[in-house]
Amino acid sequence: MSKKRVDRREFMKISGGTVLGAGLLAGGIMSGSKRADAAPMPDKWDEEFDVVVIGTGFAGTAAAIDAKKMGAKTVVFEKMRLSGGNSTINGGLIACACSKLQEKHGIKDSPDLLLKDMVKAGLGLNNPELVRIVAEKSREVIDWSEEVLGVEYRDEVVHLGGHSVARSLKTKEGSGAAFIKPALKKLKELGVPVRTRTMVSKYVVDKDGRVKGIMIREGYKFPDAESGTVKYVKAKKGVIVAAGGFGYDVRFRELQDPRLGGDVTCTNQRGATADSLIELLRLGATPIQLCWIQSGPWGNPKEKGVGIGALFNLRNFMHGLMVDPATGKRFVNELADRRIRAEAIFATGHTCLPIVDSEGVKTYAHYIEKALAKGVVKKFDTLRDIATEFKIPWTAFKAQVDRFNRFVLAKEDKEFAKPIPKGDKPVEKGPFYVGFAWPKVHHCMGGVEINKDAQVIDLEGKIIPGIYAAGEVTGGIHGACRLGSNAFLDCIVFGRIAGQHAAKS
Amino acid sequence: MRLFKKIGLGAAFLAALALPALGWAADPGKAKLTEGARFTNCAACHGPKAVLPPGHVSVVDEENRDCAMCHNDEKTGLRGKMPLSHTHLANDVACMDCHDRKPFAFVSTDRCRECHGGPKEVSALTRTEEDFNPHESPHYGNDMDCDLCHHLHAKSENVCGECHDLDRPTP
Repeated sequence: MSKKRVDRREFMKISGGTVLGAGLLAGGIMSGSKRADAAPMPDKWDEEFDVVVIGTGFAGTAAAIDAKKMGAKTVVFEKMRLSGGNSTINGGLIACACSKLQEKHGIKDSPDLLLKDMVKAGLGLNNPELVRIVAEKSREVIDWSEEVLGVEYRDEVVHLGGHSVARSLKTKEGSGAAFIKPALKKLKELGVPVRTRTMVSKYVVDKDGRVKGIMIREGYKFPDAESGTVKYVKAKKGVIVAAGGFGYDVRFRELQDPRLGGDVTCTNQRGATADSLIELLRLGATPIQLCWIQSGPWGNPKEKGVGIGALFNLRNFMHGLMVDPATGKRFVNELADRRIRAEAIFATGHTCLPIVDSEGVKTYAHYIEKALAKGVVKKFDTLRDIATEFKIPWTAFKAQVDRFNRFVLAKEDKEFAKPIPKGDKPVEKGPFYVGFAWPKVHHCMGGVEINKDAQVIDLEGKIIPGIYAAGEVTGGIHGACRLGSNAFLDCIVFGRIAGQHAAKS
Repeated sequence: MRLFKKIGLGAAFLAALALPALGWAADPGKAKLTEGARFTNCAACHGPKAVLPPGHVSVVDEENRDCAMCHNDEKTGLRGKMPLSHTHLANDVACMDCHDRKPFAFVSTDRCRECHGGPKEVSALTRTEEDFNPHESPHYGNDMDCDLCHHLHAKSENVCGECHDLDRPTP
């Protein structure tokens, strides 16, 4: 391996330890940077590109596609052996205000309403400029995904918690892979190399404070930080960090929120760790709202990650009711935002039970037999059987179900203000289906600060030149709570913005 | 290089794969990989400490090479319990048959495919009515690297199993 670093001894030999040498040393030329912990400027770069993208999820692939289409010589690095991060295993739901499908199903919506929902769920912690950009670009994102990547969406619009109306489209295949696979194929067609097992360890920053490139570890074996061969890659126009969140990083997430230790399970893949975020913070990026970490209330404790059990709960929240088995009563609006529902379930101290009947289960018909076989959903002939099985106080439970059904008929939930979906029927026709809900760590709303052009901002409010960020690694868009199906949207919006701006710079 | 047959894999290999798993009574400990590894020479990697439980038949004898002759039911099966190097060695596939240079480097999936066939052939082996096919992932496609799950020098793992429940052990 050739020696790339100009280390102190080498420099002193060349300069002869002169006053000039000492002056340069004092000025920080030696490291090439004033930024703490940046990699030293190599005397020779191993490779050169215009745009370097870190991460192969929604944001990274979208950024790379747009950067390349604008003429930038682009490369994508992925630290894991598999591409796609959390994006390829996600549930394939993406929010869109004023989609063609909403129009077809007679649903009225607007970007302003989506914005309002995001700010309400975000408790107003959302960066006003950035959240507006996401809300206004949702239709553009769907059109782009269909035209450029051929992504197909199912003929339905799903109503997720915290959204005022049904606006979430579901990919035909049912996961984010429906975007990631064509995106990776498109990158191959465009001639953009996607290199897995390549960890971006540090940024190379010049004396003027600009990020000039990266230090990578080729052949990296997650999670060994010292593995792989060190190389230096120049990024002439910019580095785009789309490295995802840190949901799987128990140490870092527990620091931000002590309630989320190792006993809380997680929906993320193993690579969702804080290393890239930490490198951005070392670079001087401003941290935004790192303690706002979302747990998915639809988590089903009888399965790993997010499986068909969680999908059942998700559907169930729309068409049924959820009860605390200790009381037999509802305790939260089943379509409130994720933060409200997750905290309410955590507060009961035990797994809670979403319940639908044979009418309400119809939208889940595709999965129900498999879910029953796996034991993540249980079937009962009568409500009484449910009460017996889970030792639920019968009188209170029956009264609750009757009350809920009156709300459904009146189309107004007087207890918890759940927006009753159009066409919903009372929960009364057996057999009945019961899921299990206990939250799982899911998404990190916080991250580094970016501006409207996806440029990373330092602690003094200045742009750090040469570096961009997009997707879950950024903070401030979702505030206290990310609405379901908004991550997919945000990632593509800001991934594309980052790709376009980096290519133009 | 001695090749397996692509179709009809070595008997011991196939048989071992078909069975569920059971651990050894003895702990083999940390092995030091060596080019001198032979199925009949445990000490070459494991050192002088015995790795087979007392009373185990001698694997030096030719007639005892087919582990599945005895390890042939749910309780005694070895599938998923030993690094795959053992199964390969039992079928006369030695270190240099896969690692073509020293120091031993990462072996690409192309090398595995020379004997085990391509994605279509492998997927066909594991397709069942009852469960999802780990070789046909809706998230990652069907051409993932073999050694993501199937480790030669460590216990194999089930990458799908990080999120999904898969009843079959991973050889």
